[in-house]
Amino acid sequence: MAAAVFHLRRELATHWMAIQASFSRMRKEVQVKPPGPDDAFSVHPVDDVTFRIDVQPVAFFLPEKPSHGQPDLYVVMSGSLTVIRDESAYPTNWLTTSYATRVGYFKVRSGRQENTLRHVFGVHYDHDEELPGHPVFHSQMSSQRQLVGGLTSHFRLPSQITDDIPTWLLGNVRIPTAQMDPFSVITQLGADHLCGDGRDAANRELTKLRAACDFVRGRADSLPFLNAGIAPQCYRSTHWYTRS
Amino acid sequence: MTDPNVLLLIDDDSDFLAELKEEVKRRLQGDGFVETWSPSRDEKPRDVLDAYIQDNVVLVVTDDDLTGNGLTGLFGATVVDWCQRKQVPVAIFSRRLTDDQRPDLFDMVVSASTAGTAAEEIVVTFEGFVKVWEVLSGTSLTELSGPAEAAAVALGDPQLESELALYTAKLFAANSVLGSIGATQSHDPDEHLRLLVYVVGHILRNVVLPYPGPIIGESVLGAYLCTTTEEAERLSAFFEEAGYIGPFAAGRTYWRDKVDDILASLAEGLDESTYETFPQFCRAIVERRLGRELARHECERCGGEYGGFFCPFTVRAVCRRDDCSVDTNSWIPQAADLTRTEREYFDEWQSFLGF
Repeated sequence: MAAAVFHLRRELATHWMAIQASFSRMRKEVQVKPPGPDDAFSVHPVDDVTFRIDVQPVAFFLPEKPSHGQPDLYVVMSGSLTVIRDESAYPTNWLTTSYATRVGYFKVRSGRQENTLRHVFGVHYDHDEELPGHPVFHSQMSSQRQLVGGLTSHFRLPSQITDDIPTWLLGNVRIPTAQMDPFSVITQLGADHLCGDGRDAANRELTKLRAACDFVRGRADSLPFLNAGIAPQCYRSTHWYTRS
Repeated sequence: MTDPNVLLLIDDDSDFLAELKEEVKRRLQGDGFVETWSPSRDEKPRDVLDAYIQDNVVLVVTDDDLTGNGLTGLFGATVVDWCQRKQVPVAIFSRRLTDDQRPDLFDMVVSASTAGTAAEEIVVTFEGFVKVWEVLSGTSLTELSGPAEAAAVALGDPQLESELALYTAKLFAANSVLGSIGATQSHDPDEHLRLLVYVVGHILRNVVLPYPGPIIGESVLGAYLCTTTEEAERLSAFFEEAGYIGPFAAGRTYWRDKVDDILASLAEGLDESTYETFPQFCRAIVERRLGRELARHECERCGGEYGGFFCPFTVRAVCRRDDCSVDTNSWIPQAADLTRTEREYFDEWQSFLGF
């Protein structure tokens, strides 16, 4: 077990560096915080082969759209990813057992109230393999204003939120998604905010970013109902609910 | 580059220059040719320097004040400027100046309290540039994606490219020397090689080695294991297989991932979760193997119980506690993940030094 902790810590460090390098190459003005992997992640053994990776609030300063000249959007994420070590697994030795990811998007208000933040989007992603009515992988849009401390600890920003848009959204809508663990979300941030038409260099760099985020294998392989009948070929979310 | 590789030493104090030359030659053991120049009143210094700087000059080291023999107006800074324009690595040495800790990519300062200590540092720098040259001259430069990949190749580990890219991310945009380099627009492959060696050598010597990340010295190893530098010196045999002998290795230096490999191989049976911090777990691995406790480093905040990180400004072990250190400042390269700034130093100097 102890040796596996070293392996996992090293992998996290290597991939966190690669992630930061990719964001920097996609757009040099982008900022990713904190730079140190020990400040971004902590590894906790659950048993001899299972480890929980806690993602401390990590923050990104990105353009809202790839076409925007300068970054104008702050994204903060926290969560966890639990993996088991399987030496025989391919192409990665780390298999997901569970995850939970919270993401908050913020912008600085301009104009007369310029010293406040607008919370423009919030979502949490998780999975449930047993509860009826829960798609196995899903998201729920909701206010993530509690993450603002994770943002202001990395950037000099006001902490007051004067506009919390997601709080008005219906929180119990469970939208089926892919496995959006913290590293999937990082890939999404690069794709959403830095890749687009005419940005070939950034699009090519996305391949490297994806590779840096691909050191864990998803949970779907291990779930019988996602591998029964037509489910593995169909991809419709109707197959993503446990059978009672 | 034609052999032999040349090291040029410049000083107006001919006695010190002769002593320094002997100290350097003794350490080089024939692996290079040492030239000296003591500027005097009737010389045209620019012409003399141009005559000395041929293609095989690997490093120029100059005193800070060169006016002692009556050649007024010639200072080390002038030599540095001329050499940088030709992309020849140049270091300045002085009994007064100390090495600036700010990661300035192309500036090198050698501490010259004695000829011996100066020679030690000069030889490490000279041999470092020679090693980088040897590796890169055997590499297809057009296949490299940039200086970070070239630096990774020079270290013998292409996987380090991302980390090395982050080491340099803050530096290139602000460096005026690169402007003059770009202006040459040479298409000569030998010139391209010279430029790449110049850039990569400085990246490794000035930015990667001083700010601990993938490569660590003995003081950092001590901090990494929450113990003292003296204990780290005694552990040299323990970590021998992790030794780094690449470019610019000074004293005992280690690959951090190989240190981790050694620790991992000895860790079975210890439960990491019973230790408050991971560095304490690492120390316990070594202590169990040695059968004794390691000395605690001197820290008035924790009594040396914690550690894991190193502050290059105070040269002390620090930990992640808020009252001990801060994780980053604008001087620390992004990938130097074992480098933190001691809180007291940060609070005292941040408003003056632009952290």
